[in-house]
Amino acid sequence: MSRGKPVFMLGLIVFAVIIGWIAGFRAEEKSVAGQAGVLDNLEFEVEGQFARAEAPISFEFPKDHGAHEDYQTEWWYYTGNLATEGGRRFGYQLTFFRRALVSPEMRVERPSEWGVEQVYLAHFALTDVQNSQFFTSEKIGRGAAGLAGAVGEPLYQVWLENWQVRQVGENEYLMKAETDQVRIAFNLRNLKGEILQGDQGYSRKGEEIGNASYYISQTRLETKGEIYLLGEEFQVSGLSWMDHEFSSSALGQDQIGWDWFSLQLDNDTEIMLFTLRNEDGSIDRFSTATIILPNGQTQLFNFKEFEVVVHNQWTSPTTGAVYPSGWTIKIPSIDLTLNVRPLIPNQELVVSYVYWEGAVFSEGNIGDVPVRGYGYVELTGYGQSMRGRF
Amino acid sequence: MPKSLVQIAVQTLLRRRWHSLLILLGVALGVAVMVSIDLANASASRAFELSTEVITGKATHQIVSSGTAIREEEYVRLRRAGVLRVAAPIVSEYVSIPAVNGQAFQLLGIDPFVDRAFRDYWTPDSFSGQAFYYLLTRPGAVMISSGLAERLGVNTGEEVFIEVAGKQQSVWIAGILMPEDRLAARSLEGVLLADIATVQEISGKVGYLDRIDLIIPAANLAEVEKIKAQLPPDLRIESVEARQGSIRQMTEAFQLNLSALSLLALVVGLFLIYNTMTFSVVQRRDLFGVMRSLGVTRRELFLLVSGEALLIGLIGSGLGILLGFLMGRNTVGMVSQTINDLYFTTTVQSVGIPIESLIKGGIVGVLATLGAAIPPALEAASVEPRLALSRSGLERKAKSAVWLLSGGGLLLVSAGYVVFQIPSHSLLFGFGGTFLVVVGVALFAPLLMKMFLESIRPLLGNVFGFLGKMAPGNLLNSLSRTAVAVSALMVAVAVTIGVSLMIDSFRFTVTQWLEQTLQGDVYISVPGFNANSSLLPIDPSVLEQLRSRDDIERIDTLRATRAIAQIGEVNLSATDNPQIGAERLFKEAVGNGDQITSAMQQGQVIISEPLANRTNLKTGEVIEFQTPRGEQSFKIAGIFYDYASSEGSVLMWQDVYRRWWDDEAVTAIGLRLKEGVNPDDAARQIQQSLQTEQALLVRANAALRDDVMEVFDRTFAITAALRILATLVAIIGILSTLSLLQIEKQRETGILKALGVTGRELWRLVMLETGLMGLIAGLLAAPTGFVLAIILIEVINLRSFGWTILLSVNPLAFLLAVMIALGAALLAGVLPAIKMNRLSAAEAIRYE
Repeated sequence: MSRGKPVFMLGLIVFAVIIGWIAGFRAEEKSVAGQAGVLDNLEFEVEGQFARAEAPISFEFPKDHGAHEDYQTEWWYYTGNLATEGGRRFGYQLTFFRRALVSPEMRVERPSEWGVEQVYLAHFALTDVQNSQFFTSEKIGRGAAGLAGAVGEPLYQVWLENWQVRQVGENEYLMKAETDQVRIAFNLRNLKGEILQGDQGYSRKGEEIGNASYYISQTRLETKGEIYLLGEEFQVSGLSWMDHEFSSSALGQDQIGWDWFSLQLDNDTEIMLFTLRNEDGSIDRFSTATIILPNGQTQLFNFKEFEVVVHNQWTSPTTGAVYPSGWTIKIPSIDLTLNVRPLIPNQELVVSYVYWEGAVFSEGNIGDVPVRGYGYVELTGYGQSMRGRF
Repeated sequence: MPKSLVQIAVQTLLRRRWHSLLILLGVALGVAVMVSIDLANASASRAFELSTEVITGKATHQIVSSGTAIREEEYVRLRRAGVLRVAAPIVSEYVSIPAVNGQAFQLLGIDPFVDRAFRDYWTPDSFSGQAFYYLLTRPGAVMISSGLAERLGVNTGEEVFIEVAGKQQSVWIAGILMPEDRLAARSLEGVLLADIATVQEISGKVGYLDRIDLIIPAANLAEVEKIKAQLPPDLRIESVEARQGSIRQMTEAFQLNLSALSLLALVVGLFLIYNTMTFSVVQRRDLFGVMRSLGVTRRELFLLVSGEALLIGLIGSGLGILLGFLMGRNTVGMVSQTINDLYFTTTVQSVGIPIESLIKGGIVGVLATLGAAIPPALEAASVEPRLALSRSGLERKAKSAVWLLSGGGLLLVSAGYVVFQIPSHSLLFGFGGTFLVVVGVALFAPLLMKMFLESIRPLLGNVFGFLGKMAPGNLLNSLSRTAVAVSALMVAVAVTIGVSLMIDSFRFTVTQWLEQTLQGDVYISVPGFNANSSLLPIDPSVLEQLRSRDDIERIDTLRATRAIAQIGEVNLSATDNPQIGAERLFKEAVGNGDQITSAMQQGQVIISEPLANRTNLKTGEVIEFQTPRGEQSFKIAGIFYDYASSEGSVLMWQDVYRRWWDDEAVTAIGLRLKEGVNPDDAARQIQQSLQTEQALLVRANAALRDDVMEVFDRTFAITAALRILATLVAIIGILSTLSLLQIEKQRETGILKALGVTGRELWRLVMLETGLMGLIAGLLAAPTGFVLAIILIEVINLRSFGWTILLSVNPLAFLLAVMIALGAALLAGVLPAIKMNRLSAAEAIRYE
């Protein structure tokens, strides 16, 4: 398959940005159409156009694990559920976001290595299930001078200063991140290869052409290593999940956020499921569920073919946002029923933007076979709208 | 104090309008001088703080290079190793903006992603999103404060031309910063804020950082060690205080000198207050006697006189503050200029009025006035309730006191001498001793005056007849006041002589030194912001072009830079001048000129005298440098005289420097022209023919010398202004004393007139009296001034700056001083003389 010819959007793209990070301001308002200069995200215009995800393209690895700088937004999402030998459970999230500040056509050759075209943001969170504690931190930096970046060749690597994931061999990765309180050092081994989500990695998110992303996953990463938490060291092992996604405008006009599930079941299958929520409360028709079979093949279900029922809610004491907190997922055609519940309720990240991303446990059956497993759920747009951000 | 006494005090002052006015003026001038200098000092300190504040921000530590700059990869490596917690990389450069007379600005390159923890201007309202976006992404984009935008008359989106290391460039205004904090706004007025990439590109420092700012809490010193362990040999971490400390010390010495000089004006003013108050007490002894017999207590009399003094002190200080504030406008400029010339580049122009300076001036003025009035107030309180002693009785007392005073004077001078022997670099001791000596000599004045008058009396009698005898007699009879006036004038004139001699000697020494040091014919450098030396590298192609010229005999190059030694940051210069040993004057050295040169070629260094004084380093000892290749000790081959900086400098052989610092840059070029080539023509011709974008200063030897001397004169301009002010205060003192003296003698004058003394003869009498006072003051001032000059040169100057100054005595200075004293005194006599002549004999006698 040939790489899709990007169609450029005309004129100016206006958005409120991530740069809220830089100044560290917190956006509390629901709408992104805030006024410049008030205490919210800084707003600015970027001249020119970015490449858009409009059709399936062919991928080449590890090259395509690196950054695709012609697209405006890109992320590398690592989540995992780990436990000590004694059964003490931890969840972790290490995410790198890239945002292009200068469109391809406006880029100029600069003598200085420091010239900013790309910005990297990273979130690092650890869930200590036993003590119901949740640690989060955030980093930001320019994707220049070697301070932050993502490369696919010769081996894949994504990093923001001392937070990094680095490929060390075929299907072998090293992950490191630390804050004052938490430090992790993991070895990851990809057990299932690269999983192309959607239509061969092309994942539509909205009506308009280009409201889509390219989406690659590594859904079963055997993980071993150490967690240092508040001076204590834990030897842990378990499974991690990686999502790599890039696009220029994923969310459509009316979409305000999404609920995203990644579940790793004990029958060697994984489920990736997202529902896109519209402003009127309805579920967007591009919401999708995917089952990744033991052989790496995927089975897709459209929004009519699955159902997510929320049976619990949790109100954040920090932001007041009300999140769903307990679900039942049903895919009738394969007779799948899974109950999903957070390992601890408060896994809300109050960083540059507000969202919930937490370790979950799921239990149920597919047909007659009972299944269970751990996973992660991401809930966005409850504390604030995500549109225009990604 | 009872109301009636307040009335008496006020009435007394009102009745003697002129007299009161003169004292007020004296107090006011004294306070004004102090206030204006204090204002200047405070502004300079504040400007320094603000200039550095915006630059260092909240940093507690910095990583700096012992070479010229930090390779950016080192920062990235440290970041990726996770060693740096709160850290911000900085690239900065001084630039000038032609649109505002080439004023210096800091082009500050920061990384906005990490800078917020360090600098205050990142307030949410201080910039727009678009501005921020451009700052990050657009080459050449800067942000400036709203104040600066107004001064430059530019708006967002417009271009501003700047000059960087002599090269014309332009920056583009991405946005206007509007910090809410007033001080932050002030400190930002000297700053062009830009992304690190932009500053690297504009300043030509692509690939390099100037430093890395860090915030490390005091409790977390282990972190410093952790970072230290990760640094390559050419980088080091140090505390911000340590870095700023040395500059602060330097300017403090300079500022203390000014403060001391300004206090002098007040001291002269004190003499005056004491004198006048004493006089008014003496005059009113009869009145006080009557008051005492009417039941007024001693305490009340004491309060009465003190009250008068308080009133004078308050009004005088008030006027002084106002005057000082007005004068401050000039002094602030002069002091800042000097500090800019000699110590550091301030980018902050106005810092507002430090109110403390005004309050301080007022309090000191009032207290000093009160203090000076205590002896006369005690005198008033001692009056017996019967008819007061006649003044002749008092004068008799005064005459016996003359010996006592002289004894005290001797004691003070000796004490001053002892203080100088204290082996300390403290300027406070230096000035303490100086004041002891000056006051001590002033106490000798009455005795010397008495001896002089008594011995000259017969001679004057022969020349001027009975008037000639009468004038010294009059002075002797009122010694209690005349002596004080003479002392005041003497102190002022002595200071004038002392300071003049010091400055002349200094100037002479510097001229000699320039003669010796500037052996080249033409000098080339990059215009910088410090007057004495530029650290900006010259475009390497310039050297090539010069080599191809046929009118040049020899080219010497110099690399001036800052380097880190165990004694702190120092100026380091690397020269390739093969005659360096012979072209410098040495205080001490390992051998003759050639031997020094060859010692340097083998890796030794020579250090300048101020550095040696400051650090107690001696020939044969070593100085340790942090070089990019690690620590290295350099043996000191000699100490040379140098007046380029009071901070001092180290001179090294260029090949040695290059070996250790890996730095080929050249900051100054000296040319020796072939026989018969005119340096001025050559300089002009080179300036025009050089093919470089860099605006270079090409100066002939003489022009460079003139420039140096201009800085020198600028440095001492304020000193010159101060001594004139002190003299002015003294003249006012003489004026008031004499007019009082003459007014008091109205009755005598009336009798003289009645006896047929003509107006002309009266004139002559008054002029003789005042002339004698001036002459005595001048004659006493000459040796005192000489001693003062020696103290200033040997003690104060050596301690403040560490320079050896050759005493050069110009007899004219003495003559001029005596003339000033005489002139001032004669001038002071004019008013009383006119007044006396106007009085009719009858009127004058009736005065009682």
